[in-house]
Amino acid sequence: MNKVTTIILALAAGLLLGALPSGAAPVGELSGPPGQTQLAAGTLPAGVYEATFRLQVNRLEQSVTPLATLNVNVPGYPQAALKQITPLSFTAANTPTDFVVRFDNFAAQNVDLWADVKKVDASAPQLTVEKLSLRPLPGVGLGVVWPGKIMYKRQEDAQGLVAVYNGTAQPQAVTLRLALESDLQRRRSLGDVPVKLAPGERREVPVKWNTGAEQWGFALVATLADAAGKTLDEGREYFSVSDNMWAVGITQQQRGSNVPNGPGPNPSSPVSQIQQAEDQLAAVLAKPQPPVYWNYTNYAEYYAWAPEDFFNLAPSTDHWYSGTGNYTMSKRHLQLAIQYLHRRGMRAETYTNPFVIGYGSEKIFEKHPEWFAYQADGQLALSSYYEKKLEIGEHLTTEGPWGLQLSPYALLTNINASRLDVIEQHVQQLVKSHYMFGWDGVRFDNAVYPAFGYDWQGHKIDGGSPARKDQIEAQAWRYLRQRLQQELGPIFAVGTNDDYEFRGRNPGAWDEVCKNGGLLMEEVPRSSYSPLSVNNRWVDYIARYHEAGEAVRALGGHHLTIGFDMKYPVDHLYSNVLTYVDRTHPYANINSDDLPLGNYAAFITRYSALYWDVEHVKLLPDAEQRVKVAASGPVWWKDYACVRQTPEGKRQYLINLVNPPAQERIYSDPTNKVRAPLQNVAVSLTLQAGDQITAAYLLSADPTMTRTALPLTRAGNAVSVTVPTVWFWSLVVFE
Amino acid sequence: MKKLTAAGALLLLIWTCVGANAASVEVVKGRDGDHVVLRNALLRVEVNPNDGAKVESFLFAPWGDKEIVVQKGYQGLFADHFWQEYWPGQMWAAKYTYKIVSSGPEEVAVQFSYLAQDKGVPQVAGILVEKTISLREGSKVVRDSVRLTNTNKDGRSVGYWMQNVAWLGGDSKTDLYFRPSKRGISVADSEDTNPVDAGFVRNPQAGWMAAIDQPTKQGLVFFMDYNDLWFLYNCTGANTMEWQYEAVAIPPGKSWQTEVSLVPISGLDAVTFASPQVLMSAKLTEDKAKSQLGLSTTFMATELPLASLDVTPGLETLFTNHQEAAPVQKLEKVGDTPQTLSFTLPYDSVKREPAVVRVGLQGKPAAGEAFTATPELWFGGSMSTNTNMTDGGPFYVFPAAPKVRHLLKPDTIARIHAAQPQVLFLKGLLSPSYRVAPAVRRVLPNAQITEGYMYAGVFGPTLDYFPYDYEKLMAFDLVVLSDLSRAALGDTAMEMLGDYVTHGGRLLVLGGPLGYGNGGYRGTVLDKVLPVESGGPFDLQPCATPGLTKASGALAAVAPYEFTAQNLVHRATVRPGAQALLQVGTTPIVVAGAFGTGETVCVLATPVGAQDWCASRQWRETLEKIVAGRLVP
Repeated sequence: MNKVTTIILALAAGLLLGALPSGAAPVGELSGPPGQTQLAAGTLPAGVYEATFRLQVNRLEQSVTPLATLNVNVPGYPQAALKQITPLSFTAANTPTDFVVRFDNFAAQNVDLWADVKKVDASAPQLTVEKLSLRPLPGVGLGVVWPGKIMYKRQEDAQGLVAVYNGTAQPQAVTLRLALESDLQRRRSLGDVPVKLAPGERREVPVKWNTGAEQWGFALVATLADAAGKTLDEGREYFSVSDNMWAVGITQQQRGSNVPNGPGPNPSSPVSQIQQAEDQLAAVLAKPQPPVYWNYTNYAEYYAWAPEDFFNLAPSTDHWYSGTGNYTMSKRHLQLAIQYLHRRGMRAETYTNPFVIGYGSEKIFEKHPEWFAYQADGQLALSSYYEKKLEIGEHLTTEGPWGLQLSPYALLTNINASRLDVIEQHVQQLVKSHYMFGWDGVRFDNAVYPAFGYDWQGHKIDGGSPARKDQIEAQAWRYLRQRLQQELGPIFAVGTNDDYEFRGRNPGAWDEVCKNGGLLMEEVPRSSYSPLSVNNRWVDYIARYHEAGEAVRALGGHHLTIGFDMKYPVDHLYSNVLTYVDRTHPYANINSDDLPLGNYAAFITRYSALYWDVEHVKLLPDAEQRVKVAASGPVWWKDYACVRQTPEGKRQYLINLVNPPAQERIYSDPTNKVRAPLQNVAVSLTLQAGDQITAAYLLSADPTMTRTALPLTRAGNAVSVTVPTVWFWSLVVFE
Repeated sequence: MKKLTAAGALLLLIWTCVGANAASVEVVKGRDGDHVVLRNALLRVEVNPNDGAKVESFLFAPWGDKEIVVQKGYQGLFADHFWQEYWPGQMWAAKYTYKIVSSGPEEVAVQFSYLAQDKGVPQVAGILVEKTISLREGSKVVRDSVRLTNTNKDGRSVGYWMQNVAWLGGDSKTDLYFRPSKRGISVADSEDTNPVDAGFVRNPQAGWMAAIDQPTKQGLVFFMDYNDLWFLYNCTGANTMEWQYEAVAIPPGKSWQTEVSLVPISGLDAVTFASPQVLMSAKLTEDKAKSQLGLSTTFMATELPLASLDVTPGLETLFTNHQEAAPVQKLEKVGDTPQTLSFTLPYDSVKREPAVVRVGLQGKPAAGEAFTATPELWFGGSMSTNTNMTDGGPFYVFPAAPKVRHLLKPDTIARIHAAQPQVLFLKGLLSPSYRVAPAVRRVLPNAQITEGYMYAGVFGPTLDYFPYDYEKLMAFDLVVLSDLSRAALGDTAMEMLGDYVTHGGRLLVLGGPLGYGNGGYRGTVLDKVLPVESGGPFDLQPCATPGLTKASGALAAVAPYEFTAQNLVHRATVRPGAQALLQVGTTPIVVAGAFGTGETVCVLATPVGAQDWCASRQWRETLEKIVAGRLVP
């Protein structure tokens, strides 16, 4: 049987994983008194509920200033359900408006509703909470649709579940139709499952399949139908399939992004404290994974964890201080954390550096002075060094090196990058570290192995030639990538942090990073919020990062930018929009869980084939000649018009439409004004020889996930469509 | 009435005789007793000896009657502090004595004095603070000469700190502070809107600080001695301009002295360069369409007028070292009125590399010697600020002149013998491998070991502790220098260590990748007291004559040890009169020599190499003998 084409579907009507606890009393509607912002519902039986937040705002405004977050909290999972409220959430002022948040209470537990009303300036619209209430879903409906993992590899056996709930007082017999959606609108059935539900029963129906050969974004789709075939409810959830984690990579910092009680920055904490966190994490791992938190983060990085980033990535001791951060680290803790990530389908990558930084490398120096780089005066090139920290940090002590945090690093020095035997030392450390912890990839900080300085005999490592320097650095990177993938397979991802500006000084090495699906991270965007930044104006920001992203993608690489260090909510919104629409990957400060309308991480996860497939999605070269966009206001689209060759040999024209920021500059408007939505945006495309446009679609996350067919108008050699509304970002696909 | 009229007529006569520009001084009744007023045609400076001898009124004619010391008692100029004391310290509101030391008309000078007491910091007790505030005829520069004299019978180490608090333009808002740092000019805002740049400049690049009120363009420029300068600081919320000096060890009866100049200005909105001859404000703007940088420069004389000033800007990009230059432009008669020159420099607005713009200045004063200067400006391109976010360091370190610190040496330098043996261990990279501390504990179980550690950041190497006080240094029975470069030690410590050996101290010098030839010892004041002449760079090399060690003299009992070609040894030459107590073939390993009444032992072998000789019994025995006492008579 061909795995590629066969969906292995194991269903099972009799395999019920989460039945209603016997004797659970049905729950009626609970509500709080007017004005109360919190409702403690007590222990509720497992089931699907609707939390209703009745809110009122005193006036409307074109602003995305957060007025409240609506939360449903359960033990261990604050914000298990979350919705952001801004002035855009209302259609009328001084009118009570209900916001209904459906919530799948996956186990009998305490449930708490909370309208977290934000303190806003008196000039902003004022929000009042009228009423909070909670009731079981009235009828038969779906709970979570849970693909099991946020990212699968190709040809991987997948297993998820769909929760079905009977909120009626009678037994119900329904049919659950399961399917996968992918690409633009490819659909394959995973079969139908008859489900019988007692009154008040919540049941988890497992679903299995094999991911096959197809990559990019998917939705697991569940449709609930009654005996007559009438659709009662539909739910979907998104996930990715990719061997290269960078290709679909999203890393964020909000709920669900991090391992609970996982390792991380700490002020040289006592080992006992770390062991406590280890035990707590182990307890989490011992229990089944609850179907909660899915914010589309699909990999995590462990930063600055190793005792030393070049010669010691596989520590021999159980606990140590990390060289870059001075954190107390634990081998078991890190192993457990990566197990946790893998169980959710998230991948784990290790941070490292192309130079020596941390504890213990002076012992390597004593044995191999020839591996290091020197200054013109013959001294070991110590760009950062503190002997006291070095001595304190090499052994666990009660003092710990944290108190010396503000001083330089313990020891930072360069290796002789022209020697591949030295690069091999790093490769061997990464391989050992992979087997010790389970890393799926490595992300270097600080660019590539620098060919600076002199060898130990006083010869210039680069012979005094910038070209030779670049050649050495490119060679070292190529060697690293090839050796790692030789040892660990092509799935092991390799990338670095090397801003576009640095391409000017080492073009060969920079290009080498991007090749073969490598990751090129840019960190300078962090500071674009500053009025001193040359990219503080939005137009400069998008021009700069569009150019860089195209340079990366042209080489077959994946481009990533770090979000702004300081921002207002409107900057947060647009850093999301502009990162994704420009086919760049997010890191850190770009979170999508708390945006005013759509969740762009969800959107990009589902439609990554239309954005991140760098091999098949290219900028439309003659976009300005072939595409016309007319709207009620300015539209940014020229940098975001692409053409895609589909696996079936079709051509798709992808015209992204962005309603631009109202502000000229980033981090300039604490009132978070936004432009009015664009109305009736006319998009036309002049056809070229061979084009046979058969359909057009509108895809958007605003205000909710949408994929709708658009009526196509033909006039001469052009086709056109009209998009009724563009809130912030929409995509028109001519297929 | 008649008497008063006569007195007025007499004053008018005197004023007429000395000329309108003449400097004068008078004592007036102030809010709490005598105040001293220094004045000339441009300035009126009122000092309150009863409240810290601060300037509590400062009027500058071009500003009209705008007072900048608005909150008397809380504000003031030339406030004295020791940074060992927390603010406000004992001198902030102390009563000073005063005497007029020069009464004009060419110059007036008043000395204010205060003897510091133990108010919780015994170290500063007995330090006599004398500051002399002076003003010259026709000059807008106010000078404050500060002298700290140790009146005690023992040495004291103190750190002076000057604070100035004023509202430029007469209010607390819109003052900008300009500080030269090794990352470029750091600008802080009195409204604290840019907290990243506020506070300390921990790596000042020159000895000045300026503050300017933006709407009125009225400002102050302070000049201070860069050699002793430690930090520049602005408490922006309180409108302060202050700086701290490095601690100075003052022997009994000796004095440390420094001078501060205060220049009020009008007409500049920024200060990006300041020297005693000229002040410059410069702005860079990028024209992306034309791919060029516009440079607007505005100049005024600091004190004395200039006959001419030639200005030649150039640009260098920092990644590809691409250089551009603009043609020279000339200014004539540069005085108090700002004059502006504009330039354009080609700049690749596609690459947008960070760049440094150098403004070459050649000036000819109306009277006096010509001068040159090359102020530098940062242009970040896409990198914005001069901070490499990947490591926090600067892309470009603005060069600073090397500091020359003048040691205050006691009249007599002699060893001080403490009851308990004292060892100073100054530690560099390979220090633990030499196993010095265990040897000291074996040989001198009751010894007290004081440690100083090397550290190196983006601004260069230094030590986190050195006893910059002869009394402390001379009390050590042994000083160990372990793998430390000249730059880490600094010239002051080297000179003191030379004195230490000359006057009976014992110094042990260990090697490594930062010591001897690599460390830049050759030709230094320290080098003179060593029994070997250090090699040049890359002197740490495989042993050239491997084989068994040969011991002699005080180390004769040390058993032979086989050095291989994998053992790294510093290549150095034994000086005449010195003794190579341990050598391998012709390669010296341990050399001792007397200098003055002291002794230095140099260990040229290192723990570097396939075989660690520092782990051997022979090294342990050698080290124990070195710790135990003199090796040469």
